[in-house]
Amino acid sequence: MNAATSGQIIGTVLWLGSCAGLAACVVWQKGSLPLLREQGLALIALGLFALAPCTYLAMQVFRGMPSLVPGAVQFSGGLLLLAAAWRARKQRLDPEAIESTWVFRQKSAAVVLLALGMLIFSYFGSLGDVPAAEAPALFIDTIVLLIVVTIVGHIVVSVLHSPGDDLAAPRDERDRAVDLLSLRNAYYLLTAAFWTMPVIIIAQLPLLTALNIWFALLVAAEVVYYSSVIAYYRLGTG
Amino acid sequence: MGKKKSTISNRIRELRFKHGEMTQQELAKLIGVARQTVIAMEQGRFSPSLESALRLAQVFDSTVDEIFSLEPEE
Repeated sequence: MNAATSGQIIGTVLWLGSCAGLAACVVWQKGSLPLLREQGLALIALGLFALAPCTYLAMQVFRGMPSLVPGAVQFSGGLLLLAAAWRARKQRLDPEAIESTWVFRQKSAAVVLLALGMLIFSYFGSLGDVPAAEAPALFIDTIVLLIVVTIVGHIVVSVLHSPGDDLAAPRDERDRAVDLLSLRNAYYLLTAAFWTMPVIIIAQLPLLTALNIWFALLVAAEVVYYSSVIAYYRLGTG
Repeated sequence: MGKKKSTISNRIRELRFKHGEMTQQELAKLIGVARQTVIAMEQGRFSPSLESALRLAQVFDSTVDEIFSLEPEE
């Protein structure tokens, strides 16, 4: 075990005291009303803020390797939840106000596009530098990155999304129309991917090259699909 | 004779205000679509299905061609 400095301990205690005081103010405002969504989010955010320096101290004392990463993650999570609490409060005070013209499905599509962009950059960008035997491992790492970024991105978007009515709403005719049109656009690329098969066979390309070409076309089709979703929601379906 | 491309305009926003200043959320609930879909309809970014158009006519106690009109593009 390593000792924490007195300054670190005093600072952490003062920080905890401040967070507790703020939490008390939030709860005091509750009054006789049921706990509102924004107050719940604010309390969780304060809890994360309070935990951040404690995590740093705990890692230093018990593990001997202080690291800012867990605390930074907690602090960032707290900031996000505070932003969500603020938006929930604004939504409650003025339900008619539309803060964003983007529906949740547009934001979700943007998250997936971001993840696909990272996939393209990390996988296809590294393909030339990696020996063929390590390509499957690179592929698996990239898919894991894609999944993690997609999940985290959706959590962030869900927490910050302000018009709460369409998060749980079933798909309506506009959603179905956008989906169908976007799928149609992506279908063209998938068709092209199919027709590369005879070309690859005739050209006698190596198996790994053929697989990467098909994977690239599949990723391109996904990019077209999600880009179309964003565009059709924004510009209309005609 | 060639067909001209046409756009569909509507009076949904005007009729909504005339019917007790109905909110977009209320109208959306009545015709069974999302509020954002009503917004898109009013802005001309989405043309509703026949079913939704008939529901709109029912809500506004009107007819479909009094709500929607076809305008040829120049």
